[in-house]
Amino acid sequence: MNRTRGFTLLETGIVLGITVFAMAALTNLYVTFTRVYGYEQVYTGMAGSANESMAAIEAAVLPADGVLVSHAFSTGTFTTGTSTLVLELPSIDASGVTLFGLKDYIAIYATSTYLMRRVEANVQSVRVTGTKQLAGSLASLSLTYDNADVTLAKSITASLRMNAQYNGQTASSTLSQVLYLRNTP
Amino acid sequence: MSRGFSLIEATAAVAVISIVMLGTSLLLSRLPITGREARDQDVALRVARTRLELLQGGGYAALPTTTPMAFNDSLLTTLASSSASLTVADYASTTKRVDVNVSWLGSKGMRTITLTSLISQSAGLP
Repeated sequence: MNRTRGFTLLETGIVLGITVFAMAALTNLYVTFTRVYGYEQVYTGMAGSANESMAAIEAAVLPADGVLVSHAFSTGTFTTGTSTLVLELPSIDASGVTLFGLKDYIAIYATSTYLMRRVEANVQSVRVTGTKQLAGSLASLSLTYDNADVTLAKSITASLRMNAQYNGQTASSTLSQVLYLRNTP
Repeated sequence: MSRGFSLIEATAAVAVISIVMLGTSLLLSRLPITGREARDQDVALRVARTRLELLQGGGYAALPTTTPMAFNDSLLTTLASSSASLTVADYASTTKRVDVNVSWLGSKGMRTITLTSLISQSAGLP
């Protein structure tokens, strides 16, 4: 058996078959990985921004003096309701000491799919005046108060839902939290 | 003398490649589970915090006397087979200790988180 010979048709066929199978498995792995990873990334990003939004609401509510029915900000007047929250906070200096008699104002509100925060601080306050977008994929925001007269409210229930799309799949994240005002008179 | 690969060599190569691919697939299948575990834990923690906030807001006098007591929260429906309960115990003469438990079904069986706080007669939320 010293002659040189090529592959038979059967051998070539088997090799080709195995190669195609291996390539198909690899491609499938790649496609699945891309899909799972992309979805996870979108979901994690959305859940993260939902958490950040809730943290921002909490950071505004806890130190507040109280809820205001409405307040005239330089960008417009905001009125407290189910999707808008207007708070009055005592101004603080850089070391966290309350500046008596001085007030900062924060409005948290939803416009279409955006959750926004408007801060108007006293010039002596360490808080910075400005508008910030807290989240961009808001599906719903619901704020309820423990008193029909919001100025007497001692707690606020904040619920928010966020939606994100990936490849036709909808990922949604719902958060709900009760927050008590710590500084009411 | 020139020769090709033996059947043993070829089989070994295929086996090595298979193991690598299997490992990658297993890793891939863990990815969504890990993400889900983290989110579930976050939701459970939020449920427990809200309950503690409500108990602190209600004050010492309003603490439930018959415990353990189950409670409900709208977020619990987003956790699999979830349940929540709280226990109130005497800690000192005018202070009570509150434990809030939230359980849910994770990827490796039931998981529970517990938050504990002291609620005193003289101090509370305004």
